[in-house]
Amino acid sequence: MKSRLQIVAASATAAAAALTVGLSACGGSNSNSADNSDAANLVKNSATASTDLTSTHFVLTADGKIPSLSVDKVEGDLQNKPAVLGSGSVNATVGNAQNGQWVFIDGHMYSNLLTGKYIDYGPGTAIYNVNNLFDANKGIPGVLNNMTNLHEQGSETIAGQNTEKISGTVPASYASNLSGMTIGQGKDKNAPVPITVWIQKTGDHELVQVQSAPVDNSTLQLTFSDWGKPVTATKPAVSNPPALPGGTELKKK
Amino acid sequence: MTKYTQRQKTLGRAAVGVFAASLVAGGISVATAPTASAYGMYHGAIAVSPSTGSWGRSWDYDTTGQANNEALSQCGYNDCEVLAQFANGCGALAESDSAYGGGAAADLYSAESRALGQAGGGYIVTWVCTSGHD
Repeated sequence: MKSRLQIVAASATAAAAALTVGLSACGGSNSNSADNSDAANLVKNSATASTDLTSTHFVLTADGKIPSLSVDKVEGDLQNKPAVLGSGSVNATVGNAQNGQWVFIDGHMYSNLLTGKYIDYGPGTAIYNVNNLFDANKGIPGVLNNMTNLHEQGSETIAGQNTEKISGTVPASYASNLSGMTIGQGKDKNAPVPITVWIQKTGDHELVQVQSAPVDNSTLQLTFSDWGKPVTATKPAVSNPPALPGGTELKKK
Repeated sequence: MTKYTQRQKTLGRAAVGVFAASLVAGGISVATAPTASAYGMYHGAIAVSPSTGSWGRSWDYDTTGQANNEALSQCGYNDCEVLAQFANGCGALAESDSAYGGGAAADLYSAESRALGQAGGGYIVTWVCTSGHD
Protein backbone atom coordinates (compact mmCIF):
# COMPACT_ATOMS: atom_id res chain seq x y z
CA MET A 1 0.00 0.00 0.00
CA LYS A 2 1.33 3.40 -0.90
CA SER A 3 2.14 5.85 1.84
CA ARG A 4 0.74 9.35 1.83
CA LEU A 5 4.15 10.67 0.78
CA GLN A 6 4.30 8.33 -2.17
CA ILE A 7 0.85 9.40 -3.25
CA VAL A 8 1.83 13.06 -2.98
CA ALA A 9 5.00 12.41 -4.95
CA ALA A 10 3.08 10.53 -7.61
CA SER A 11 0.59 13.36 -7.89
CA ALA A 12 3.37 15.91 -8.18
CA THR A 13 5.06 13.82 -10.83
CA ALA A 14 1.88 13.56 -12.86
CA ALA A 15 1.18 17.26 -12.56
CA ALA A 16 4.71 18.18 -13.56
CA ALA A 17 4.63 15.82 -16.51
CA ALA A 18 1.37 17.30 -17.73
CA LEU A 19 2.79 20.78 -17.43
CA THR A 20 5.92 19.81 -19.32
CA VAL A 21 3.79 18.61 -22.21
CA GLY A 22 1.80 21.82 -22.19
CA LEU A 23 4.87 23.99 -22.08
CA SER A 24 6.64 22.25 -24.89
CA ALA A 25 3.69 23.18 -27.08
CA CYS A 26 3.90 26.87 -26.30
CA GLY A 27 7.58 27.51 -25.92
CA GLY A 28 7.71 27.32 -22.10
CA SER A 29 9.33 29.71 -19.69
CA ASN A 30 9.89 29.92 -15.97
CA SER A 31 6.15 30.04 -15.32
CA ASN A 32 3.61 28.26 -17.42
CA SER A 33 1.00 30.99 -17.44
CA ALA A 34 0.25 34.45 -16.20
CA ASP A 35 -1.62 32.84 -13.32
CA ASN A 36 1.66 31.44 -12.07
CA SER A 37 3.61 34.68 -11.97
CA ASP A 38 3.04 34.63 -8.22
CA ALA A 39 4.64 31.21 -8.09
CA ALA A 40 7.65 32.47 -10.02
CA ASN A 41 8.02 35.42 -7.66
CA LEU A 42 7.68 33.23 -4.60
CA VAL A 43 10.31 30.80 -5.85
CA LYS A 44 12.63 33.66 -6.77
CA ASN A 45 12.23 35.26 -3.34
CA SER A 46 12.71 31.92 -1.64
CA ALA A 47 15.90 31.34 -3.62
CA THR A 48 17.21 34.65 -2.33
CA ALA A 49 16.22 33.77 1.24
CA SER A 50 17.94 30.40 1.02
CA THR A 51 21.07 31.98 -0.40
CA ASP A 52 21.16 34.39 2.53
CA LEU A 53 20.30 31.72 5.10
CA THR A 54 22.44 31.75 8.22
CA SER A 55 20.90 28.81 10.07
CA THR A 56 17.87 26.54 10.28
CA HIS A 57 16.48 23.42 11.87
CA PHE A 58 15.95 20.70 9.30
CA VAL A 59 14.30 17.30 9.15
CA LEU A 60 15.12 14.97 6.29
CA THR A 61 12.93 11.94 5.79
CA ALA A 62 13.48 9.32 3.12
CA ASP A 63 10.84 6.81 2.15
CA GLY A 64 11.73 3.85 -0.05
CA LYS A 65 15.09 2.46 -1.09
CA ILE A 66 17.25 5.39 -2.21
CA PRO A 67 20.62 3.94 -3.31
CA SER A 68 22.67 6.86 -2.02
CA LEU A 69 21.19 6.93 1.47
CA SER A 70 21.72 4.61 4.43
CA VAL A 71 19.37 6.62 6.59
CA ASP A 72 15.67 7.36 6.61
CA LYS A 73 15.76 10.37 8.92
CA VAL A 74 18.33 13.03 9.66
CA GLU A 75 17.40 15.91 11.90
CA GLY A 76 19.33 18.77 13.41
CA ASP A 77 20.26 22.40 13.75
CA LEU A 78 22.47 23.63 10.94
CA GLN A 79 24.42 26.83 10.64
CA ASN A 80 25.20 27.79 7.04
CA LYS A 81 27.08 31.05 7.54
CA PRO A 82 29.75 32.08 8.31
CA ALA A 83 30.77 28.41 8.33
CA VAL A 84 28.77 25.21 8.09
CA LEU A 85 28.35 23.51 11.45
CA GLY A 86 25.62 21.69 13.25
CA SER A 87 24.50 18.66 15.16
CA GLY A 88 21.54 16.38 15.48
CA SER A 89 20.24 12.83 15.25
CA VAL A 90 20.10 10.20 12.55
CA ASN A 91 18.23 6.95 11.99
CA ALA A 92 19.75 4.13 9.95
CA THR A 93 17.64 2.11 7.57
CA VAL A 94 20.21 -0.32 6.27
CA GLY A 95 21.63 -3.02 8.46
CA ASN A 96 20.06 -2.99 11.90
CA ALA A 97 17.83 0.05 12.28
CA GLN A 98 19.38 2.22 14.99
CA ASN A 99 19.54 5.80 16.12
CA GLY A 100 22.70 7.85 16.44
CA GLN A 101 24.02 11.37 16.70
CA TRP A 102 25.95 13.49 14.22
CA VAL A 103 28.12 16.58 14.50
CA PHE A 104 29.42 18.65 11.59
CA ILE A 105 32.31 20.98 12.35
CA ASP A 106 35.47 22.16 10.58
CA GLY A 107 34.40 20.52 7.33
CA HIS A 108 33.97 17.05 8.80
CA MET A 109 30.98 15.04 9.91
CA TYR A 110 31.30 12.78 12.92
CA SER A 111 28.68 10.22 13.84
CA ASN A 112 28.27 7.35 16.28
CA LEU A 113 25.59 5.68 14.21
CA LEU A 114 25.73 1.87 14.38
CA THR A 115 29.29 1.70 15.74
CA GLY A 116 28.55 3.55 18.98
CA LYS A 117 31.80 5.50 18.58
CA TYR A 118 32.22 8.81 16.82
CA ILE A 119 33.89 8.18 13.47
CA ASP A 120 35.21 10.70 10.95
CA TYR A 121 32.95 10.65 7.89
CA GLY A 122 34.78 13.44 6.07
CA PRO A 123 32.43 15.66 4.08
CA GLY A 124 29.54 13.62 5.42
CA THR A 125 28.20 11.82 2.36
CA ALA A 126 28.16 8.60 4.38
CA ILE A 127 25.42 10.08 6.57
CA TYR A 128 24.05 13.10 4.66
CA ASN A 129 25.87 15.92 2.97
CA VAL A 130 24.76 18.78 5.22
CA ASN A 131 27.80 20.72 4.04
CA ASN A 132 26.18 21.28 0.66
CA LEU A 133 22.58 21.60 1.79
CA PHE A 134 22.57 25.39 1.42
CA ASP A 135 25.52 25.71 -0.93
CA ALA A 136 24.68 28.41 -3.49
CA ASN A 137 25.02 26.00 -6.43
CA LYS A 138 24.89 22.49 -5.00
CA GLY A 139 22.09 22.93 -2.49
CA ILE A 140 18.66 24.41 -1.98
CA PRO A 141 19.50 27.77 -3.66
CA GLY A 142 20.58 25.90 -6.79
CA VAL A 143 17.33 23.93 -6.81
CA LEU A 144 15.15 27.02 -6.43
CA ASN A 145 17.11 29.09 -8.94
CA ASN A 146 16.76 26.36 -11.56
CA MET A 147 13.15 25.34 -10.94
CA THR A 148 10.93 25.69 -14.00
CA ASN A 149 7.49 24.67 -15.22
CA LEU A 150 6.07 26.19 -12.05
CA HIS A 151 2.53 25.51 -11.03
CA GLU A 152 0.71 26.66 -7.93
CA GLN A 153 -0.91 23.81 -6.04
CA GLY A 154 -2.68 25.81 -3.35
CA SER A 155 -2.10 26.81 0.24
CA GLU A 156 -1.03 24.41 2.95
CA THR A 157 0.01 24.77 6.55
CA ILE A 158 3.35 23.02 7.05
CA ALA A 159 5.06 22.97 10.45
CA GLY A 160 2.83 25.85 11.53
CA GLN A 161 3.78 27.93 8.51
CA ASN A 162 1.27 29.28 6.01
CA THR A 163 2.77 28.14 2.72
CA GLU A 164 2.12 28.07 -1.00
CA LYS A 165 2.67 24.68 -2.52
CA ILE A 166 4.36 24.90 -5.92
CA SER A 167 5.25 22.04 -8.22
CA GLY A 168 7.74 22.15 -11.05
CA THR A 169 10.82 20.53 -12.46
CA VAL A 170 14.51 20.95 -11.87
CA PRO A 171 17.49 19.65 -13.90
CA ALA A 172 18.58 16.22 -12.69
CA SER A 173 21.97 17.56 -11.68
CA TYR A 174 20.34 19.86 -9.12
CA ALA A 175 17.80 17.32 -7.90
CA SER A 176 20.56 14.75 -7.37
CA ASN A 177 22.35 17.08 -4.98
CA LEU A 178 19.53 16.70 -2.47
CA SER A 179 19.72 12.91 -2.42
CA GLY A 180 23.41 12.37 -3.11
CA MET A 181 22.55 10.34 -6.20
CA THR A 182 25.15 10.13 -8.96
CA ILE A 183 24.27 11.07 -12.52
CA GLY A 184 26.62 8.73 -14.29
CA GLN A 185 28.33 8.73 -17.63
CA GLY A 186 25.97 9.09 -20.57
CA LYS A 187 23.07 10.23 -18.40
CA ASP A 188 21.28 13.53 -19.12
CA LYS A 189 22.14 15.95 -16.34
CA ASN A 190 19.52 18.35 -17.63
CA ALA A 191 16.65 15.87 -17.66
CA PRO A 192 13.68 17.48 -15.90
CA VAL A 193 12.97 15.95 -12.51
CA PRO A 194 9.65 16.73 -10.78
CA ILE A 195 9.96 18.58 -7.51
CA THR A 196 7.52 20.24 -5.12
CA VAL A 197 8.25 23.09 -2.75
CA TRP A 198 6.29 24.75 0.04
CA ILE A 199 7.22 28.41 0.52
CA GLN A 200 6.16 30.88 3.20
CA LYS A 201 3.44 33.06 1.72
CA THR A 202 4.54 36.03 3.78
CA GLY A 203 7.65 37.28 5.54
CA ASP A 204 10.99 36.26 4.07
CA HIS A 205 9.43 33.55 1.89
CA GLU A 206 11.65 30.91 3.40
CA LEU A 207 11.51 27.43 1.95
CA VAL A 208 9.51 25.40 4.47
CA GLN A 209 9.54 22.07 2.68
CA VAL A 210 10.85 20.42 -0.49
CA GLN A 211 9.96 16.99 -1.80
CA SER A 212 11.28 14.89 -4.64
CA ALA A 213 11.36 11.27 -5.80
CA PRO A 214 15.04 10.35 -6.39
CA VAL A 215 14.04 6.92 -7.73
CA ASP A 216 10.76 5.16 -8.42
CA ASN A 217 8.75 4.35 -5.32
CA SER A 218 10.76 6.72 -3.16
CA THR A 219 10.28 10.12 -1.59
CA LEU A 220 12.87 12.48 -0.18
CA GLN A 221 11.52 15.30 1.94
CA LEU A 222 13.26 18.14 3.75
CA THR A 223 11.37 20.38 6.17
CA PHE A 224 12.85 23.57 7.61
CA SER A 225 12.07 25.80 10.60
CA ASP A 226 13.75 28.09 13.15
CA TRP A 227 15.54 30.20 10.56
CA GLY A 228 18.31 32.35 12.00
CA LYS A 229 18.40 30.60 15.35
CA PRO A 230 21.96 30.45 16.77
CA VAL A 231 23.61 27.05 16.38
CA THR A 232 26.56 25.65 18.30
CA ALA A 233 28.47 22.42 17.84
CA THR A 234 31.42 20.84 19.60
CA LYS A 235 33.73 18.30 18.04
CA PRO A 236 33.17 14.97 19.80
CA ALA A 237 35.90 12.62 20.94
CA VAL A 238 36.65 10.77 17.71
CA SER A 239 37.51 7.08 17.81
CA ASN A 240 38.23 6.03 14.25
CA PRO A 241 38.46 2.28 13.73
CA PRO A 242 42.05 1.00 13.74
CA ALA A 243 43.44 0.51 10.24
CA LEU A 244 43.42 -3.24 9.70
CA PRO A 245 44.63 -5.40 6.80
CA GLY A 246 42.19 -7.35 4.69
CA GLY A 247 40.61 -4.73 2.49
CA THR A 248 41.19 -3.65 -1.09
CA GLU A 249 43.13 -0.64 -2.28
CA LEU A 250 42.56 1.40 -5.42
CA LYS A 251 44.92 4.26 -6.23
CA LYS A 252 43.34 7.54 -7.22
CA LYS A 253 43.72 8.61 -10.85
CA MET B 1 47.20 -4.29 -3.06
CA THR B 2 45.94 -5.81 -6.24
CA LYS B 3 44.04 -3.59 -8.60
CA TYR B 4 40.62 -4.91 -9.42
CA THR B 5 40.28 -6.04 -13.05
CA GLN B 6 37.39 -7.40 -15.10
CA ARG B 7 38.81 -10.90 -14.74
CA GLN B 8 39.05 -10.44 -11.01
CA LYS B 9 35.48 -9.22 -10.90
CA THR B 10 34.45 -12.64 -12.14
CA LEU B 11 36.78 -14.40 -9.76
CA GLY B 12 35.59 -12.27 -6.90
CA ARG B 13 31.97 -13.00 -7.59
CA ALA B 14 32.66 -16.70 -7.72
CA ALA B 15 34.57 -16.52 -4.47
CA VAL B 16 31.60 -15.61 -2.32
CA GLY B 17 30.29 -18.63 -0.50
CA VAL B 18 28.07 -19.40 2.44
CA PHE B 19 30.87 -20.48 4.76
CA ALA B 20 32.42 -18.34 7.41
CA ALA B 21 34.98 -16.12 5.73
CA SER B 22 36.44 -12.67 5.67
CA LEU B 23 39.15 -12.45 3.07
CA VAL B 24 40.44 -10.79 -0.05
CA ALA B 25 39.38 -12.78 -3.07
CA GLY B 26 40.06 -11.78 -6.65
CA GLY B 27 41.27 -8.41 -5.41
CA ILE B 28 38.07 -7.56 -3.59
CA SER B 29 37.45 -7.37 0.10
CA VAL B 30 34.87 -10.07 0.71
CA ALA B 31 32.91 -11.00 3.81
CA THR B 32 30.37 -13.72 4.32
CA ALA B 33 28.40 -14.73 7.37
CA PRO B 34 28.71 -18.19 8.90
CA THR B 35 25.11 -19.14 8.38
CA ALA B 36 22.06 -17.80 6.68
CA SER B 37 20.28 -15.50 9.11
CA ALA B 38 16.60 -14.97 9.68
CA TYR B 39 16.87 -12.51 6.82
CA GLY B 40 18.20 -15.12 4.39
CA MET B 41 21.44 -14.60 2.46
CA TYR B 42 21.62 -10.98 1.46
CA HIS B 43 24.42 -9.62 -0.72
CA GLY B 44 25.83 -6.13 -1.01
CA ALA B 45 28.69 -4.29 -2.70
CA ILE B 46 30.40 -0.91 -2.91
CA ALA B 47 32.03 0.44 -6.08
CA VAL B 48 34.04 3.60 -6.71
CA SER B 49 35.35 5.49 -9.73
CA PRO B 50 39.00 6.38 -9.03
CA SER B 51 38.98 9.20 -11.57
CA THR B 52 35.83 10.99 -10.36
CA GLY B 53 35.28 9.82 -6.80
CA SER B 54 31.74 8.76 -7.68
CA TRP B 55 30.60 5.74 -5.71
CA GLY B 56 27.69 3.33 -5.74
CA ARG B 57 26.32 0.81 -3.29
CA SER B 58 23.90 -2.04 -3.13
CA TRP B 59 22.42 -4.15 -0.38
CA ASP B 60 19.94 -6.95 0.18
CA TYR B 61 20.35 -8.57 -3.24
CA ASP B 62 19.93 -12.29 -3.79
CA THR B 63 23.29 -12.82 -5.50
CA THR B 64 26.76 -11.31 -5.53
CA GLY B 65 26.45 -10.65 -9.24
CA GLN B 66 23.27 -8.64 -8.78
CA ALA B 67 24.82 -6.70 -5.92
CA ASN B 68 27.97 -5.92 -7.91
CA ASN B 69 26.04 -4.87 -10.98
CA GLU B 70 23.82 -2.54 -8.97
CA ALA B 71 26.78 -0.94 -7.19
CA LEU B 72 28.56 -0.43 -10.52
CA SER B 73 25.40 1.00 -12.05
CA GLN B 74 24.90 3.46 -9.19
CA CYS B 75 28.57 4.44 -9.39
CA GLY B 76 27.91 5.37 -13.00
CA TYR B 77 31.32 5.66 -14.65
CA ASN B 78 33.29 3.32 -16.91
CA ASP B 79 36.17 3.07 -14.49
CA CYS B 80 34.04 2.13 -11.49
CA GLU B 81 35.33 -0.91 -9.67
CA VAL B 82 33.89 -2.98 -6.85
CA LEU B 83 36.10 -2.66 -3.78
CA ALA B 84 33.92 -4.46 -1.25
CA GLN B 85 31.37 -7.21 -1.49
CA PHE B 86 29.66 -8.94 1.36
CA ALA B 87 26.91 -11.38 2.25
CA ASN B 88 24.98 -10.86 5.49
CA GLY B 89 27.50 -8.26 6.58
CA CYS B 90 28.76 -4.74 5.99
CA GLY B 91 31.02 -2.90 3.58
CA ALA B 92 32.78 0.43 3.80
CA LEU B 93 34.71 2.74 1.49
CA ALA B 94 37.47 4.98 2.83
CA GLU B 95 39.34 7.77 1.09
CA SER B 96 42.77 9.24 1.74
CA ASP B 97 44.80 11.72 -0.30
CA SER B 98 46.18 8.99 -2.54
CA ALA B 99 43.83 6.03 -2.54
CA TYR B 100 40.43 4.49 -1.90
CA GLY B 101 40.12 1.53 0.40
CA GLY B 102 37.34 -1.02 0.47
CA GLY B 103 36.58 -3.23 3.45
CA ALA B 104 34.01 -5.92 4.16
CA ALA B 105 33.24 -7.76 7.38
CA ALA B 106 30.43 -9.20 9.43
CA ASP B 107 30.12 -5.88 11.28
CA LEU B 108 30.45 -2.25 10.23
CA TYR B 109 33.27 -1.31 12.59
CA SER B 110 35.52 -4.09 11.23
CA ALA B 111 34.59 -3.24 7.63
CA GLU B 112 35.54 0.39 8.27
CA SER B 113 38.82 -0.73 9.86
CA ARG B 114 39.77 -2.67 6.76
CA ALA B 115 38.73 0.17 4.46
CA LEU B 116 40.84 2.67 6.39
CA GLY B 117 43.74 0.22 6.45
CA GLN B 118 43.78 -0.03 2.69
CA ALA B 119 43.24 3.67 2.05
CA GLY B 120 46.12 4.48 4.36
CA GLY B 121 43.99 6.48 6.77
CA GLY B 122 41.60 9.24 5.79
CA TYR B 123 37.88 9.02 6.40
CA ILE B 124 34.86 6.87 5.60
CA VAL B 125 33.16 7.93 2.36
CA THR B 126 30.24 5.56 2.56
CA TRP B 127 29.13 2.29 4.09
CA VAL B 128 26.25 -0.09 3.88
CA CYS B 129 25.07 -3.24 5.65
CA THR B 130 22.64 -5.91 4.63
CA SER B 131 19.48 -6.22 6.71
CA GLY B 132 20.07 -7.41 10.22
CA HIS B 133 23.77 -6.48 10.41
CA ASP B 134 25.65 -3.56 11.89
